[in-house]
Amino acid sequence: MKRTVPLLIAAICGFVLIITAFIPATVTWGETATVWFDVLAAIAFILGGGNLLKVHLRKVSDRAAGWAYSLITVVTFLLTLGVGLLKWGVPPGSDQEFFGYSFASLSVADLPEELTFRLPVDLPGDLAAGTLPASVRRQLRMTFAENDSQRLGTLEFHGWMTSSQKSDLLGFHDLLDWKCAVEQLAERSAPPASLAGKVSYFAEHEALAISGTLPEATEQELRAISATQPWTAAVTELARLARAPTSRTLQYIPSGLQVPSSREDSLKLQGQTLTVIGPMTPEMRAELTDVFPRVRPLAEQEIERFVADMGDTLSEDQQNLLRGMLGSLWNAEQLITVLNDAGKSQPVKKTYCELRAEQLAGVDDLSPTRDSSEPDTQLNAAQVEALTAAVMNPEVNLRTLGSVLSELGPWIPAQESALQKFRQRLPTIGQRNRTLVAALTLGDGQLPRATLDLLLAPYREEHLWNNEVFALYEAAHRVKYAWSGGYLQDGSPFWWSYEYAFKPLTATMFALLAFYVASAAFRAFRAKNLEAFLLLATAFIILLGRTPTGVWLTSGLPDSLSILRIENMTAFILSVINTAGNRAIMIGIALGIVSTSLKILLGGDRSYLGSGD
Amino acid sequence: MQGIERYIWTLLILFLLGGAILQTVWDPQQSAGRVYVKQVEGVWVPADEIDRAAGIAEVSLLRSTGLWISALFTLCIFSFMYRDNPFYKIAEATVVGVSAAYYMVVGFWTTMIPNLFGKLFPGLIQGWAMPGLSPEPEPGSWTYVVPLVLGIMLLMRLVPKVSWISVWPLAFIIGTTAGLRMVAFLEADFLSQIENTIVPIVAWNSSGLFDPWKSFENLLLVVSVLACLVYFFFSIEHKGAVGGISRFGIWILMITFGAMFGMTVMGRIALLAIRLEFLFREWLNLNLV
Repeated sequence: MKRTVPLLIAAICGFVLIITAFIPATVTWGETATVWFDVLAAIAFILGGGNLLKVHLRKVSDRAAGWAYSLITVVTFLLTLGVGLLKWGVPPGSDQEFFGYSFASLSVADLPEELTFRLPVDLPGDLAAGTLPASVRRQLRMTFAENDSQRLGTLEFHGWMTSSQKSDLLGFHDLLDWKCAVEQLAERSAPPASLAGKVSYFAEHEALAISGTLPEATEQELRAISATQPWTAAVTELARLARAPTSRTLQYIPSGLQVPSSREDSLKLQGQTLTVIGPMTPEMRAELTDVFPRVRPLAEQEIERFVADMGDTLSEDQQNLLRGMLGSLWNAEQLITVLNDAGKSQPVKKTYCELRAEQLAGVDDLSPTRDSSEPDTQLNAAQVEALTAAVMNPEVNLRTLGSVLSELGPWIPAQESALQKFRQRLPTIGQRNRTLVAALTLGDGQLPRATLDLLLAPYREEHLWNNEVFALYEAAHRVKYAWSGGYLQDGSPFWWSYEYAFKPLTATMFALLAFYVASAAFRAFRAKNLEAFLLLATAFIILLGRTPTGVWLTSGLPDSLSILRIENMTAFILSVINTAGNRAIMIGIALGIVSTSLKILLGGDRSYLGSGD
Repeated sequence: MQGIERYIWTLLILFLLGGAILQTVWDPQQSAGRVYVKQVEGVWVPADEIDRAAGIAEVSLLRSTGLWISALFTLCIFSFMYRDNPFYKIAEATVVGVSAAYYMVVGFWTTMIPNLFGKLFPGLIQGWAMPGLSPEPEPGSWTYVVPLVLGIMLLMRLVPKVSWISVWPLAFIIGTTAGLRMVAFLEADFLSQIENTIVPIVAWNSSGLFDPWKSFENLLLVVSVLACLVYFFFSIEHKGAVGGISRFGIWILMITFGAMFGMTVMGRIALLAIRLEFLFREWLNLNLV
């Protein structure tokens, strides 16, 4: 049994996987087997670690020769393993932490009846046999029609449907009737308009969630939904979390900082103390950090004034570079083009219910979009004039430019959105100055301390303020998944061990081989016959062809003999002869693998079973 | 004699360390032996000269210590060029311990958690370490009990009395590898290599004219592959015409091995240059070139 069973296992697994390659329906078996193989390989590392400990601990306990080195191996192994498995010093993953949200535990079973949304449908019963997307499996019920057991009669959804759940459900089946039903169900199971975008239910996390703080009116509205105990408890918990204040004494505040009026209920600035009520949302953080002016086009005189402000500390080349960089930031025409493009009417995507109605009406060629009935909105002459003047005026804030333009002519939300996106893509003064310093000090360029201070002061202020805001953002956040960070997070002890021990040690070990390969070649390579000469000469040409000296040596050859230039010879050898040789070797290896595999599967090669001792 | 040698080496090491410390203390740019960092979104990241000039960078004690340790480890490994010695052995012992643990940790977090426990206990894993995972089990995920059981059987190798059972998972690994690799190699190496060798012997350039150089290259490629394959074919005695072709095949293989050797040496020398650059630039901030 000790030898027969393994032989059978190897033969059955191998032949089944070979056969599955020829049957399309079973191709995934091979993929599953590969995953299982990976799992076993990972477990084999544990086996390797266990063996390592066993061998070296025995050596230490026996005080055998070199036991101190074994102790170093054991200690470094256990330390690295400990910090890696425990994710020591690794913060939670920022992309998985639901920053800005407060979670209150609420299972799908505890959802109140008021959050069960039903939609009468007439859909094929086959749909119920399919495997629903995992994201909705807990919340969606399909019920057959009372009078027809072959048709679905009702779709029932528990909780509010999220956009990703809707998307998953739309992808569940291609039937237009189904997609239309999903659209209708998503509409029914959307939170009330006053709560939309504020309150969510995440079934996979079994959590009722709120973004930012919880105003009194929203709380009352939530409580009014149901009076069940789990629901009330969840709302109470949400209110507690979303109203907890977090304060930070600021070391640096940008001059003229004011809390945006839309955020006055959740952000308070008193003296040097900034307080946030509940968690800080990413949007709130973006608003708080977006307080520094963005670069704008500069007139000739402004550029000259900027250069003059640097004093006589810049060389002629540096001054010209500075003028060039400041003069090519961006211009009003670019913004006008962006706004006019945004104003062009876009085709409107049809809903699936509209498409279904067209299908029922007998339309053969269903188009997913229809032309917009809205005309194009282009900037008029007054708006163009105002915009051109505004971008050159340092007193005008680009953030509020939309309100100025809207008073002078037609202005649609798409243009406002394009304006804000354009503005946010522009560098701040600090970022621009950093780029200027990088360019001016490139190569041997030097800048005196005073010039550096002058140029980098805005960059420093922006950095300090961003860090202040982030510190408050992080402090106001309640960690939901403490172990969600990456195990190789920069700055963690495991990363340290990888960066400063594993990487340099392994790289140097391989680098060391350069000496030994060269030394071995020097001793072994002798042009004793034609074959040895070919090997030696090729190696010499390849080595020489990869160095500037080699290229220089043959650079004087005329064009008619260009094939003899070392770089051309290298390319020819690599692309033709080396390719041919490697190709033959790979064909040989493939045939070798096939025959070895068959030998193993047929039991001809049993070396992997060991001696049986 | 040995005493003198030890004395010289001790002096040399002290001289080297002293020099590195002096360079760190007196480096005019204050960069040698230090790692500067700045905080961005709560994470400490490497800072450059401009960050230092702006006053937002600071020396990281932990990373600077790491820099020194990695430099010393590099020198310890290089010391093997003289001969085997305690410094090399310390570095060797460290690399064994750290790399074994590193691969175990990588295997645990990238394979065992998502591909084994994440399949068998999705709810538990989602609530613990993978919030993005669906807590709903996938259809057929129960089959992952098989690699779990096989894995446990593999670990039985550490228990002498039942170590024989570890051959079963080994048989699974061997069998699946043989099955998967056989088909994969036939597809990717055997067939595709033959397909790529079938090239036009008479080649035309983009202008529609006969291209003699390309034709020669293609002809040489085809003939060379066939000649090498003839050399690998041992069922016929390599005499006469076959012997001549197989001899040509040997020449092609020799040129291939020469090219491989050259490329390998260049690769190692590039690695060596990176390590030397690390020592001189990153550690000691000496721009010698």
